[in-house]
Amino acid sequence: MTDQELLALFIQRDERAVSETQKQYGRLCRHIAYGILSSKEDAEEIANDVLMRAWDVIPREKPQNLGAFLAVMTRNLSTNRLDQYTAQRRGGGQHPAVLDELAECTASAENVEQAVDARLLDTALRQFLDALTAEQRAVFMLRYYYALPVPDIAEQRQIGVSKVKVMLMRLRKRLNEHLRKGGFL
Amino acid sequence: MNERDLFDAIGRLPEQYRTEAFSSVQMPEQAEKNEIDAMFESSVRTEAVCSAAEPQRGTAEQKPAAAIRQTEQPKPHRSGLIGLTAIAAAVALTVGFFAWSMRQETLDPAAKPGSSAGADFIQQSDISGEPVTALPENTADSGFSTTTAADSPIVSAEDERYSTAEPLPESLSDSEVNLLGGHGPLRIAESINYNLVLEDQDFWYFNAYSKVSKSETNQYGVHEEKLLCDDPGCKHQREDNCLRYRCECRLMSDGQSLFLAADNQSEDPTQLDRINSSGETQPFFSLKAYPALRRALEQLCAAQYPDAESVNLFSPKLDWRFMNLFRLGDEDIYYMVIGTTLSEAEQHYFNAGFLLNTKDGSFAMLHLTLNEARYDPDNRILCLSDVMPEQAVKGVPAQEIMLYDMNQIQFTKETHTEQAAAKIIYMADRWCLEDGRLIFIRVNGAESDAPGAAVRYSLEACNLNQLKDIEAEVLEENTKKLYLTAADGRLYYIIKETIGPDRICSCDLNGQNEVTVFESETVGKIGYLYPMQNSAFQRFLISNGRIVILENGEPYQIKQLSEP
Repeated sequence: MTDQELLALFIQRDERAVSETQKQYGRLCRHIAYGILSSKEDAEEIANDVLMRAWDVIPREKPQNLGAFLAVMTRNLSTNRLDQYTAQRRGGGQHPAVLDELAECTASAENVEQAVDARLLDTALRQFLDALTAEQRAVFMLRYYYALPVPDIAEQRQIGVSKVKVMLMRLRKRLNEHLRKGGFL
Repeated sequence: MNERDLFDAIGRLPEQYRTEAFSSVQMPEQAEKNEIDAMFESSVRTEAVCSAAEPQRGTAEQKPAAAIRQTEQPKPHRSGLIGLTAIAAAVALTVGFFAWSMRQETLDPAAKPGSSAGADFIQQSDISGEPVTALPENTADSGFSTTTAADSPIVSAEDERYSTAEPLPESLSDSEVNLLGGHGPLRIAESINYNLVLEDQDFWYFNAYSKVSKSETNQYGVHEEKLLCDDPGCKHQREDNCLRYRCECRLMSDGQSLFLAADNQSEDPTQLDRINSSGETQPFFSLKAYPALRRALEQLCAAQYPDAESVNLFSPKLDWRFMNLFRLGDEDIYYMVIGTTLSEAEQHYFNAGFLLNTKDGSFAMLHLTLNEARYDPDNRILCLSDVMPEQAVKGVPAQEIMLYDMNQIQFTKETHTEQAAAKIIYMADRWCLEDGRLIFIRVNGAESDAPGAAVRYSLEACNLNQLKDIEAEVLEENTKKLYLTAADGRLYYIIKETIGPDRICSCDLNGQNEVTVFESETVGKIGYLYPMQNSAFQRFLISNGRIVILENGEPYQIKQLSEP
C-alpha cells in the first residue's frame, strides 16, 4: 500500500489506516525507538503512540512522506521518553551510543560551558551536509537523526554493515574537522 | 559545545534532509528479520489487538488509541540480549577457528555444497603461482569481505608434505647449555594450543618469552619471572645475540618435538625446522604454495578495499610465518597456522592466516585485517579474527582500543606477528580441547578477568559449514573459572574471589563435581600492575602429575597432583 493510499485511509477515518500503517512502518518505528530507548516495551509503546498521534493529526497535517513523518515523530517521542529516564542515561541503546559517537566530533579541550550560537551551528551543519554525497547524507541522517542501528541502515541502503561503520567513522572525522574550522571546537 | 548540543542541532535540521534520508526507506513487517526484530517476535502484535478491539468507523473523534496501545507492562531492566548475542557470536567465531582442525573430509570446494563462493574464489591449478579465479562480485560490496568460514578460500597444493624423518636425537648432557640458555635437555611441560611451557634443570620457560629460575630467588625470596633476554641494552632485533628474538613466536611444539620457524626476515621464511635442545635443526616442512596464497590475498585485499587503487604487497617471500602447529589425537596429520605479514594498500593493513592440513595439502584461510574497518565503533573493540565477518566484529575477544588510538597503531614487519600471536596467547587460557570436545569460557566484555560462561562444544558438530548453527552446551552461566586447562580427563582452573583466597579447582568434563585442589594462603599482597595480578594465583600448569603454581609474592610451588 502506498503512502497516498495510507493517507487516504487516515483521511477517511478508516481503521485500516492503523493496521496498514503498522504493517508498513511499524517495524521502522520500533527500530528507531528501540535504538534510542533500548527497551522492547518502550519501543512497542512508542510505536503505538506514534500511530495514535498519526491518527490524531492526520488529516490536519498531510505529510508528503509518511515514513519520514512517522520516523520524526518516533524520534521525538523516544527522545522525550529518554529524557524522562535521565537516570538511565548510560543504560545502553543507540542513543547514548550516538551521543558517544558525536562526542568524537565535539571533543575539545575548551570549556564546554562556552556558549555556542545555535544558529551558526545549524548553518555549519547544513553546510557540512550539503558537501556530502546523497548516500553519505542519508547514512548520516539515518544514524544521527533517526538513531537507526547500523545493521538497519545497511539494510536500508543495501550496503554492508562494515561499510556503513566505516562511512560513519569518516563522516565523524570530517564533521569534527568542519566544526573545528568553523571555530565551534 | 558537547555532543548533546550537536545532537540537538541535528534535530533542528530542515525537513529536506530528514525526508531525503527516508526517500527510499522501507521496513515492512515481512522484511527479513534481524536481532532487534527477534526481540519483538514474542510480543503481542498490535494489529491483532486492533482487530480484536474493532474500533468504530466514522468520526474523527473515534480514536483507536485503546486498541493501539497495548496493555501496560512493567519496566524490566534493560535487556542485555544484544550483548549476549555478541558474546555468542564470539564463541561461534572461536569455535570456527578450531572447527577447521576437524575438517578433514570436505576440503574439496567443488564437493562441498553451500560453499560456492569458496569454490569460486580460488582454485589453484599450479602451486607455482598461476593466477587464481576472481572473487565473486558480492565480495566487493561491503567493507568486510563476505568470505565467511563456509566461504573461506581454499587452496589445494597436493605436494605439501612434511618430513617423516626421525627427529634429531637429544645429545645434550646435563652440564651443557641448551638453546634457551639453561642447562640440560629441554622438556616440554605444556604445549596446549599457543601455550608452550618448557623446562630444563634451571628454569621454566613460558612461550620462549620469559623464564623463572627454579633455584634462584630475589632478595625477598621470590622466584622472579624474567625475560628470556634480560639484557637491558638489547632491542631484541638481532638473532645472533638475543635468545628471545630467536625463539619467541618462532618456537613451537606438537607436544613431542620442538620446531623453529624461520625468521620472516630470513632468506627463506617458508621453512619450518625441527630443533633439538642443542639448537640443531633439520628440515621439517617447506611451504610451497605461497605464490597462490599470495595471489589469493591480493584479490581479497582488492575486493575488500575497492577504494584502494592498488594492492602493494610485500615481497611474497617475506610474507609468511609459521605461527603454530598441532596434531589432534594420534592422527598423522599436522595442522599448521601460517600467518602473513601485513600487506599495505594505502592506509589499509591486511594480515591473514592460513590453516594447512598436511594430509591433503589444503589450506583454509583465516584473514586478520588491522584497519579501521576492523574497528567496531559501537562496541569499541578491534576485531582480531574474522572467520565470520559480520558476527565477528561484534564480539571477538579483543582489547578495547579507542578509535584514534587504533589509527595510530604502527605495526612493523618484525613485530606484527608477535603482537598477533600475543593476542592469541591471551585468548588461549580460556579454552582447551579434551575428549573430543572444545571447552571454552566466554568472555563477557573486553576485560580479561570479566566473568563469563563455561560452555562446551562437540568438535564433531564444528563443521565448517555449520558455524552459525552450533549450539553450545552451557556448563555454567556465570563462571569465575580462569586459566582453563585439562588433564587426565578433568578440567582445572583458577577461581579468583573478590574477597578471600584464590583457589585452583577441578571438575569433570561436564562441569560437575568440583573440588578444590589448592587454596592460596596469600591474598594479593604485592603491588599490582595489571588486573590479572590482583590476586594470589597468577598461573599454573600441569605436568606429569604435578601442578606448578605461581603465586604473588611466593615462589613457585610444585605439588603432586592427587586424585580428586
